[in-house]
Amino acid sequence: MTTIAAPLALMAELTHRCPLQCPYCSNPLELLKAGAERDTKFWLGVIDEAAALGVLQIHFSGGEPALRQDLPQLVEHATARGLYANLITSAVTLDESKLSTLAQAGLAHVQISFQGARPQTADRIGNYRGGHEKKLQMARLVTQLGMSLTVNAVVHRQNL
Amino acid sequence: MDPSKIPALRRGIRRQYDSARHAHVLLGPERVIVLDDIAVEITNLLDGTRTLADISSTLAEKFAADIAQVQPDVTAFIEELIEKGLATA
Repeated sequence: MTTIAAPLALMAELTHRCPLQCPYCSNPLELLKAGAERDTKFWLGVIDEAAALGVLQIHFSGGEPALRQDLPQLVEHATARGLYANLITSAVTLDESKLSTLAQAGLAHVQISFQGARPQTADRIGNYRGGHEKKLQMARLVTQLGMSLTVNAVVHRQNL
Repeated sequence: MDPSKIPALRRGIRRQYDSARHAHVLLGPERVIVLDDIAVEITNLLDGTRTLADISSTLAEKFAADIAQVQPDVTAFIEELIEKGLATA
């Protein structure tokens, strides 16, 4: 009998809600409203099960995972269970206080999406005014707070 | 690599024991490295105070081995960690 190696990572899609409207997004068209999302208790249980299976990394994603009020709690729980916590975010709803709280909860890595190299292009593609500048501010803050930063960018004809 | 350099794990790199795999691992952004016994011994000594030369001599003493044999292996391993972005010196 062959055995299957333990999974290394868990992608946790916490919500379908997102402030951006990038046209190429893989978020489902039939979005679940906040009230239909899995609750905190569910996710805490998933994290426990994942840790027991041997998962070592958790990627909090969505939608925009930072819209979840319980994100710091989930990050803290994952970190306490030995999972390396990563946040995949548009960053536009973050601020200094939220990022500090997440860093204190143990968040190790933040991946920020960029829709273009210039505010004019980027804000048009994400349909979110002021988004690009906010992302730059949050990216600086991520490194200042001692977390690792990755930039995620979809490259296409309109932002090349 | 200069033996007087002080290697250390890079900021954001965590080392921990993984009870599911019964092994020590290094965790970084989208990285998981499972350490073998020798790698565990070497990374135990990456404490930010020991030089590469100190680490080699400590291990040579611990395992009653020839320093001339130990140092190249330790150097190669630490250079690999640096190359992979997991350590600095």
